[in-house]
Amino acid sequence: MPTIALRSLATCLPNVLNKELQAVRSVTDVLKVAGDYPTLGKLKTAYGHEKVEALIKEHLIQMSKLVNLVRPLNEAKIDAIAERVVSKYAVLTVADINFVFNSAINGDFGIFYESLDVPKVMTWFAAYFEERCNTAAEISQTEAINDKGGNFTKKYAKKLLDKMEKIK
Amino acid sequence: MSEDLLRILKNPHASKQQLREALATALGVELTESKSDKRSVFSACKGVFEFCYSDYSGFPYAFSAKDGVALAAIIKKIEGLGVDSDQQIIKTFEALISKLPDWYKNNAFSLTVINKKFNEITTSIKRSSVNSGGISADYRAQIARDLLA
Repeated sequence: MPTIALRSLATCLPNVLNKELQAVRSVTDVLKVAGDYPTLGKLKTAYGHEKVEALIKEHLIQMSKLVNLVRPLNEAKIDAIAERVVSKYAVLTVADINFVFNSAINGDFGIFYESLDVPKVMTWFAAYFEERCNTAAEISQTEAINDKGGNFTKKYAKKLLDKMEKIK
Repeated sequence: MSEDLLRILKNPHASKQQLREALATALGVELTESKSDKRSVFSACKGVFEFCYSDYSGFPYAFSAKDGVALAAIIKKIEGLGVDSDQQIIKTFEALISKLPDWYKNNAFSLTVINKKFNEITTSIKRSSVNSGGISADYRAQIARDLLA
């Protein structure tokens, strides 16, 4: 398994990731690039819990700027969300985090009703994590079937072609 | 009487306010606010309002007699909130005007309306600040330090 280059926290900020991940539009896209980005757990080991929480806080603040809120997140709520996300979703990469917040901005998790709070944001992560696991499982299953059955592998296709060539 | 007080009382260049304070201290009485103090709070608040108004609308505020009456009433209401020192009154008034809800800024940016709707406005400002909590500059600075250190 290739080792993922550890990025500096400054390169994991929303403005940097948004540029790099412009083409990422679905969970499948995230899974394709996830290997190139460090997980929160890895960042936590390298930089410490507080610094990774700061990264999540920055994502939250930038997101808040882009949505109209009568009751936005205050410092206590931001702290609580960052702490929970880093503790509970250490397996997610910064690409995943960026995707979750962009999806929220796009309204994919529903309407904000002019307010944000801890349960609402944590629900996004729970929903995303479930979808990510299901998508990863599907991809893994499809790959496994193809390998075992040989129906769509290159090797089997070549075999079939060779057979057909012989018949000809 | 202390030497400091005597020096002030004998000083021909001492200001009226210094003399008043020195005399009051010497007599052991509490100094009551003079009309000029009231006037300075009024002028400071008037200046704050005119500045905020022209900054927001781009036009100077046409100050009339009824605005003066309204401003005096607002100052009295601020005092009623438990704010006693002049500086605190000016600061509270400044906060009131700078945090004035957008609707009032867009549709009723006048001292008479602020006076009439004082209770509604202060409640609205308080509610929005409690709910939003706001993100302080210190908090942002701490995040930046954590990320870039």
